[in-house]
Amino acid sequence: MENKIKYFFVVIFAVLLHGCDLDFSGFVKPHTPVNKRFAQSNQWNNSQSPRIVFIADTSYTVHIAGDSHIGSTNSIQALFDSSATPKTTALFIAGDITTGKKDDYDVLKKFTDSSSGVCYNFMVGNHDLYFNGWKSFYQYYGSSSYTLSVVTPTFSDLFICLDSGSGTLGNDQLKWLRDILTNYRSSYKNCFVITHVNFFRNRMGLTANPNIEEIHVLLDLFAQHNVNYVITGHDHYQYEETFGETTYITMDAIVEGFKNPTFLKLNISKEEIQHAFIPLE
Amino acid sequence: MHSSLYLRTALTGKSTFNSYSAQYGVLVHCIDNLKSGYSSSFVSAEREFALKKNKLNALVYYLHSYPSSILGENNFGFKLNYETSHWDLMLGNNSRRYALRKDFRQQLTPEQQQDYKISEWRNLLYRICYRIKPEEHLWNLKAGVTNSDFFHISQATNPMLFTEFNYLLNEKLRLNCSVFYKVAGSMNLQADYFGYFIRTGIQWKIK
Repeated sequence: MENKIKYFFVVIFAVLLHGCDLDFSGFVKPHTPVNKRFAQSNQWNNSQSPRIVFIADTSYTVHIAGDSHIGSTNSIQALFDSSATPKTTALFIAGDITTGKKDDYDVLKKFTDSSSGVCYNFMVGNHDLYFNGWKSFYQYYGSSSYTLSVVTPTFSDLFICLDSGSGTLGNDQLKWLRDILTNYRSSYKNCFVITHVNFFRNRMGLTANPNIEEIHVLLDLFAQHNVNYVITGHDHYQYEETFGETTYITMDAIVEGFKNPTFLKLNISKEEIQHAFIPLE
Repeated sequence: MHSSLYLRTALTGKSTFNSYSAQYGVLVHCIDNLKSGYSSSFVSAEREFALKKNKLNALVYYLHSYPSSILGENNFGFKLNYETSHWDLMLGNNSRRYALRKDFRQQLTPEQQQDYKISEWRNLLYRICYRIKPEEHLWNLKAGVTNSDFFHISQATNPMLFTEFNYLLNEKLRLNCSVFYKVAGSMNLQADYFGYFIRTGIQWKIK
């Protein structure tokens, strides 16, 4: 019996090691820990102008997607095409944009350099960090933890983008998030949090969520500060839950070959927020 | 997430009658950033079966907790525990329900009050543990991986590594000390240090 148990674990380990676009060194420790990434993001934020979008209209649209896993740029091209409209104020991609490989970041950089008319905002997912991918992300796109304000003639909204690529925000980023919500949330009408790793498990799967202690802290924080939406990717299948005032959304993947790729469209006005999953064509 | 020291104290008991037993416990915060006073309580019912020369236990449980001043949580499920002289294996399912507590709900609109809970029905529970001495030995050292402890249930994809030392002081008293090490995101192949906790206590056998 005891030998059978040992053989079972050897087989499981061998199956896990059989991967292609995966970086198994990350199973033990990250190339760049989350606190260090956040420090770099913060440094980058301080060297740039704040992300503020002023619009003349009293309603606007935001597009959010996740998990493009570049490789190929067909999906992200379709997403950018859908977002290149005057009404679309911003596009967010909530992580797993690439496979983490330098070549894929180069493809993405070439693509974004040739695109115009889209206010895109990226944050990292776990795949973006494989193969020391943070180095490329930081070099090309800078921060993965930042805020974006949308100012209309009658109200202002706050978008908070977080780096959860390691499955945790880390102490420093959590403190920053708490400070923003405590000191600035009340200045805005609506507040949206966008990050990679989804919070709830509506199905069994191998992807990891934040540890339960961190989920408790974040649920508490988002409820206390009336966060309207928490939008994530990572799990590749759409799912939504409402918890008090906060709607938690997990988005479909848009990776090429995925059966039903969709992105999330938010229509925001002073009176209401509407959301819809739009098929990516 | 706790960025500083926390301390909690617990009292648990187990009553056994033939092959049946009931276990119960309560956990209280002593030092904690988020909360104070009552934290969690659990109750479980268990039956032991003999399987060849080894033990198989079937158990159902309920765990209630207040993770923060506005959050409540209920967990319930079942476990099957199989023990040989050196291996301790457990498999089960946990269902978790997060809820906003009543005081907080009253501040919400009637519509928002309807959405006060989120359920996660399927969560695999597991423990794979190896002990270097048979269970009845004077002292023992165990090591393994699990996603649950008395008052703590993680998601299936957030395993904890643990080691435990115990020492039999006399036929009634046994000392225990365990260390649990947690990382975040290891199953995402992007692990980052999360934290650890130490559990220590004394078991008193009353006949």
